Amino acid sequence: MSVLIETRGVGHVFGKGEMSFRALREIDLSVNRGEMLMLMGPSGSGKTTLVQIIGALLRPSEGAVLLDGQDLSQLNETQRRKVRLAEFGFVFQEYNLFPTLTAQENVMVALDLLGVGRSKARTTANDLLASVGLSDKLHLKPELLSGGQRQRVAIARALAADPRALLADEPTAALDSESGQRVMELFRDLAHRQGRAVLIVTHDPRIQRYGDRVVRIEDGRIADDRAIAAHEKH
Amino acid sequence: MQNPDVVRRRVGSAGWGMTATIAWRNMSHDPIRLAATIIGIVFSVLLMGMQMGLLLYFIHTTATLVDHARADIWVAANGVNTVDLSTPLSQRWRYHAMAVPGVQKAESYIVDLAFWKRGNGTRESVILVGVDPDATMGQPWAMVPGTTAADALSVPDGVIIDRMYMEKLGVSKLGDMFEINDRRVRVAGFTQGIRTFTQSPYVFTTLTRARELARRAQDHIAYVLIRLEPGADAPKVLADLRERLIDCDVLMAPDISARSSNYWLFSTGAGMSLIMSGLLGLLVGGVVVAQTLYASTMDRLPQYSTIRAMGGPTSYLVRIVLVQAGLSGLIGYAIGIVCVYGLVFALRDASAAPELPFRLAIFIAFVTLLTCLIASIVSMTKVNRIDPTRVFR
Ligand SMILES: Nc1ncnc2c1ncn2[C@@H]1O[C@H](COP(=O)(O)OP(=O)(O)OP(=O)(O)O)[C@@H](O)[C@H]1O
Ligand SMILES: [Mg+2]
Repeated sequence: MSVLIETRGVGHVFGKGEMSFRALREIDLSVNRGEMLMLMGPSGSGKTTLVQIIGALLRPSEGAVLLDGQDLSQLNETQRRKVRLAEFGFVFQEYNLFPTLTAQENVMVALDLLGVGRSKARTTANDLLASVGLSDKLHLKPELLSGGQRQRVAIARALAADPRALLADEPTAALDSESGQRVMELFRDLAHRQGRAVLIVTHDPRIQRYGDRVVRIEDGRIADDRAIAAHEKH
Repeated sequence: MQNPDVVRRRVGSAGWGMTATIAWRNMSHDPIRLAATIIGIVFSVLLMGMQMGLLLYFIHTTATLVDHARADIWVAANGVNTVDLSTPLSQRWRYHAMAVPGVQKAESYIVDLAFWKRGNGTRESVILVGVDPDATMGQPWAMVPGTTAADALSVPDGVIIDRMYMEKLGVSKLGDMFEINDRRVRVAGFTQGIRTFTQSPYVFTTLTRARELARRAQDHIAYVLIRLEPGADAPKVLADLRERLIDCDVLMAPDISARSSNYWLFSTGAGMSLIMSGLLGLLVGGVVVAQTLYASTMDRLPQYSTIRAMGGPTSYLVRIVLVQAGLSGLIGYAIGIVCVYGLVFALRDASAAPELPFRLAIFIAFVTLLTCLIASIVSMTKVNRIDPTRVFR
């Protein structure tokens, strides 16, 4: 398996002077294509900060982030925006769907951002929703969907650009365990069957066994990085 | 902008369709807020339409004698403020004017205040307008078919009034007799739709009769109306007239028209108050739109922030805000202008009938949309500053 994402000596300091706070230091981490990586660690340890840096949302104070060998930290704002648009799929704890749009339309928004025309976007959105098991919910608004279904709509939306990497911050935190498992199975398929690099931040030790590897962060450093043995896996 | 090398996929740019869908759903999702927005704009369009319509009406009525006299140049006593309030002039200036090269015709015209006594003895102030029955300028216009102005004026004691003021003057039919300044007059003809700004009706009659009724001297007039020879050099004739006619105001018709309107509208403050209330309407509409749009934008911050995190440009969000502002403006304007047209129609026979020409309707549309655009600045600033990292926790 080849490396898709790599951080080299990434460190991050929020703020300046006396008010500054070091959130990350010397993070060397790589995520392979087709790999499902679980990022764990106590609250405030820097997990979200790291995801934002990898996802080209935050420029690291130190170090480099490579996507397929290219340094993202050198790109300007517009270039980073385009990298996010075309290369990453983001999934959040709060699904952040438009409550006024149907499942189909929510996915179409992401396709619209990519410049996909309306009718093509509609069929693509239907395909994406079918791939997350929601073909029968195309025309429902989020309020009529369960939490797990909403998160699957959000995943379909994240797949609009057919991204090489998926970044999810606590995607199951708001879900009951059954829906959470369903969502994790979906992520695992996206990694294993479709060859995407999937990075998932979680607090929940019960879902860590869905991953291929678990990285623990403590106080902004990598405290542990280990593969999950086959017998531990779900 | 070149895509960075690392981006494999071709990234196009978004169209307007989806932003319009998002915008419309934002609006229709909250019907009460939508109603408030629309009502705000309707109110503002109504106020603007009525105030500006009245302003136009006043501009037109204050100068209606000038605008319908068909004269090129007006000669008045020095310092005339408005046509309806004249000061006496001597008829000899007419003969002086006739001698000026380039003047084709110079005719006498009288405007005077008088009192009309109804059958029941009550009085009403009127504006007497005296014109020679054979004159080519200053004749009553908009005559009700049946009698010509010349015929009506040749009736002994004949006067012409407007139908709109029949009730006010106690007139029920042609031939009715009344008194003006205690002298007999007979209603010999009607015009239709000649309103006065002062609400004192015009009473058209002959020059001679006007002098008698107003008890003026034989050579009394109020204005000399001048028609230029075809192809005459107007500024040159004007200058010559000004030189020869001492103590007179010599004005091109549009200038005395404007002077009359300005006198009523701006020296009395009537015009200013119309303009101010029109602007107030605009301000109220603008504030309502700004507030409801901002509230709606705040409701969508998590989604907008998500769009930014996903790599959407701020221009996408600005577009949503703009479409929302524009749609509100269009809907509000459409309803508002229909209401204005309705009111204008309902008031067509009222003593002050606002006018809404097509150009004014277009102007109001433009001002309304501009106001909505300005009102959306706060929201646009907000979406421009959205932090894409705030959707993470
Ligand atoms: N914008 C910021 N300005 C200043 N400090 C920040 C900012 N963002 C995060 N921090 C700090 O950086 C540290 C790491 O934050 P981060 O959000 O990455 O933690 P986390 O591991 O995701 O925690 P949690 O599990 O609670 O989500 C925290 O102490 C946080 O207070
Ligand atoms: Mg976090």
